[in-house]
Amino acid sequence: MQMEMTQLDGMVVHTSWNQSKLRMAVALSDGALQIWDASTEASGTSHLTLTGHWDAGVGGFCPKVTWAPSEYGDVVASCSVDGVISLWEEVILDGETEGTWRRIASLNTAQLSVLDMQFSNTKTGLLLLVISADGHARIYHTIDVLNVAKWQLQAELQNSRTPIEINGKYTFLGASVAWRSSTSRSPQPAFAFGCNSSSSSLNVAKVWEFEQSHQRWFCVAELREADELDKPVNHVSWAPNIGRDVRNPQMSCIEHVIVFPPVSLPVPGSYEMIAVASGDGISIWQVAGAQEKCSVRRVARLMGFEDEVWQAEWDMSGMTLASAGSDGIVRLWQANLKGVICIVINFAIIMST
Amino acid sequence: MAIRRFNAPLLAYVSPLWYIDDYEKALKANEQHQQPRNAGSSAAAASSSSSSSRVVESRKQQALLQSPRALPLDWWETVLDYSRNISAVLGASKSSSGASMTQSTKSTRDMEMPSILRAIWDLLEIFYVDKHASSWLPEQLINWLERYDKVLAILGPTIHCKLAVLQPRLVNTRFPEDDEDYWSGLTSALAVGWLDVVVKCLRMHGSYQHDQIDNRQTENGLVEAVVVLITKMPRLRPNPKLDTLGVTYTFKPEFSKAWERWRNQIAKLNSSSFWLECTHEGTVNGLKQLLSVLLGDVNTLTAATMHWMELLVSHFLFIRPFLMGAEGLLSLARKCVQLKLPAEADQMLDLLLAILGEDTEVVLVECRKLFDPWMLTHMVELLLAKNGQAQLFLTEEREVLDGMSLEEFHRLVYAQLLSSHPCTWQLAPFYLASCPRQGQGLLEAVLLMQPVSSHSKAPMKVLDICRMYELRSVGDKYMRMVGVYHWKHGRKGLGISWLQCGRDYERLSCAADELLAAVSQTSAGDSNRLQELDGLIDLLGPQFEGFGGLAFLHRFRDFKVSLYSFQEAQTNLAGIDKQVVAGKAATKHLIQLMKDGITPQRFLLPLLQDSVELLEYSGEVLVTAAETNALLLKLQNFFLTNKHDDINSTEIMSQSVAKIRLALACNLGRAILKE
Repeated sequence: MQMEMTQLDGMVVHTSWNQSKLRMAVALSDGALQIWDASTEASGTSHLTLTGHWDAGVGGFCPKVTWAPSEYGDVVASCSVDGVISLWEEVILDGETEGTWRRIASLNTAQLSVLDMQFSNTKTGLLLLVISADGHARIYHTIDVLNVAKWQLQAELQNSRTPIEINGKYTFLGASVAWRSSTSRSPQPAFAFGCNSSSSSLNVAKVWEFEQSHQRWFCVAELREADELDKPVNHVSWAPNIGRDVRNPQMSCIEHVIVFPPVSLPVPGSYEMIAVASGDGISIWQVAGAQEKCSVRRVARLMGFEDEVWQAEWDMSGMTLASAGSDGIVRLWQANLKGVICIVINFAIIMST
Repeated sequence: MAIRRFNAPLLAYVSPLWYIDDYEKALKANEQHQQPRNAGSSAAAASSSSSSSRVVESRKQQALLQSPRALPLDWWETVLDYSRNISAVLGASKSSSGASMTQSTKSTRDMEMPSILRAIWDLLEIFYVDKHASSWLPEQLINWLERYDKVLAILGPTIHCKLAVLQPRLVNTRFPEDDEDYWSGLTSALAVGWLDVVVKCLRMHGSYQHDQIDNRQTENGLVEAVVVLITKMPRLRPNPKLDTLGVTYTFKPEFSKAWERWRNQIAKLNSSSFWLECTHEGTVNGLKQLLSVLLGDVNTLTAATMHWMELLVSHFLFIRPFLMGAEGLLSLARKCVQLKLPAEADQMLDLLLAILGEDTEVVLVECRKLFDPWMLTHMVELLLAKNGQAQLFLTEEREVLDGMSLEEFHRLVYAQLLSSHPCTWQLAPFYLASCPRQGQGLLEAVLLMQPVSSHSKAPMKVLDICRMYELRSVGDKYMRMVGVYHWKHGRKGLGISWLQCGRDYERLSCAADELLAAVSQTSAGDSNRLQELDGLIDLLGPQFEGFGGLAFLHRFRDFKVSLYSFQEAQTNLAGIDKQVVAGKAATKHLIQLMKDGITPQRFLLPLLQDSVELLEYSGEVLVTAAETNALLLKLQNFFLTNKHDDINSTEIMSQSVAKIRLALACNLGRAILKE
């Protein structure tokens, strides 16, 4: 969809689109939140209009903002640097015609800055995964379906496993989480989680899956190859799965420097794709199976970036990957008919002051 | 901040969805040419191509029902209809030779951008679909070039460009024969068979003018002789063309004789002595050039043409006029390419050669490079019309595409493009429905992405699509989203209806809980609010019989209403009888609420607090001793079960309970005395 360029006033810290990609939540450096709505004209172009602006009351800047799934209404979560997460809901009160954003819940995490957070809709209720500056992933759960006001901590997970890692004092500069998409055929919730920390051993993206029988989360896979050891994970993105499966697995060709030995997936069937932006490249991983049968393999390492890659996001079909980095270029990547992943379009962002 | 796009695909050729890629540019073009091309018309074009696809798809299904193994032999005729419908959608093409001479080169380039699609589409139709055309390929190519030479101008200089530049000069020149470009333009136009242009321009020759001092009769005679020869040029065609010059022959022997006779006449004229009598050197040379073209001189033809397709067509017209089929076509085309190598890389070269050689694989690869997914999706039907090898190539499942075939892959990509825009997303389901591997997954994702807001028309359309494609669970999920949206945005009744349609009993139960809370907080005097809540409760409907809260809700409302009547009677100082009747009715509803055990715990205390008013009524004892005992028992149970909650609320509760207990004790004493 063609959308007119919109200039946002103020120092924008983070943005997030809702499920229909027509509403954008913006977190500003002064702790305010904004909602921008897209509307389409008869001519076919769309533009954004500011429809909501309020002080999130975090007493500082708001580092992250994210939307809940639409089945819970228009709900956004914002966080403060001291680890307080606020959930905001748009309602139209009796006698009013315009929507109002009101705080419906407050979660006090670990009094540490929140590095990333994402919602996921599961059969047992809504989950909110929060990564704090101590490198821990906390999963909050609510069984409310109409008013998501009451939350409880379901699990607290560490990305570290060895005692040295657990007891060490490390600084976490950033983290990224991505839930397995709701279109996946697998019934259990799962997510990928990676960090950018002062310890290279912790800078690894891992896949966690919930096991129903034990009612626990297990780390089922690590997404790291030898050449990524010192590279911090800046972003992870789990591709939507609209029916991807393989009957006779073969090695895909890899472009841009690295070629792997051919490895076949153990069991033909449905598999998932995860993109991990680490250092100056993006790794594409195939994940198949579940729990102890889970197997992963890196199918591509996309290179050619001048510097750090900040973000990599899949499109709705999981066939195109968009990347952005410190070189100011947005690249769109697609696999060609031979399975080689290559750039199809570059966009250079030109900053004007 | 601005975004600069670079390293883009070779050509951003436009399609019926061009506004998505290049809307701004198109808008500018529209402003210049006042053409009503906007997103709406483009969406309409996408819609038209979608309808044509639907028709051909349904015919294919019918044909496969009758013979599941293969399509009927005349299937290509159905595809030909489809192809012509799509071609019409891509815009009208005028003959370049005459009418478009009045347009400037620049405007031609801008206006005919979408025609590049049509040009390729029509060429595919000639080679892949139309079986009749395969017997007359050279003639089809001549006609094709006549229509689309102006389109080829996008890629580099063509004869059309040359004539477009020449035309305004001719209008203002009295004696064009003095201008070398005049003769050069005529030679070029003749080389590609635009006879009417050549004749019209020759008639502008200065020797036709009456008010001349010089004697130019011989010169005029030679010009007229050439005009007559051009007008009588024999052509081997399937059908006579009424609006063009030349004499049509449908049978080769007749054509052969006529051709020999015509060529002899040209040769005779060429060697006649009249040339010596003509004093105008420009005319002599120019006319001789024209005769060289007519006689099929290779060097003249090569010099007169600019694009390799033009040279190819000139070969068909003047060097190999008897060629009818495809034999030798590709090798001849390659020779012409070698002779007319473009200065810059011709991005269409490989595609055009692949179509001439019917190399499906290369055609697809080149189209993928040059065009957007619209073309790839719709042209597959053409490629499959008669070519068995293409069938295998396009429909085999490929591991690299996760088991999808190329046909499905292109449809999926196009459907994704359609679904990205509010004007076109509704066209996507048709394409996705014919994608067996991943179509349903994407369709579900597309449907669940549609906006649920009240000013959007999407909800009803989503439901229609879910019904059409039997996507019940997706429909339920979407209705749930719409229901929650309305519930939260002040339209609770609409929200309940949508949640009921989506069979979301969990959320309905929560909604009922909220209504209960609202009723309990509403004062009995706020009749409007009570009426509104009453309506919402009714909306929850009888299908919620199994849901315990609903029965309570109705009785709770009855109690509130009767209590209000009792209060009204007291305030208005109505007669004691009336007050007692109202009070007893309220008591009756209260006791019913207490008896059946349907009242949720959290409503017990507010109810008992309300009952104090009845218990303390001085006019008469409204609550009997047995009833008071039952209420006392309830109160005691409630107090014991809620004792361990947090301290603050327990303190408040204790005070309330004490007050109620006192009122109950007083009433019990009065009731016992009375009984």
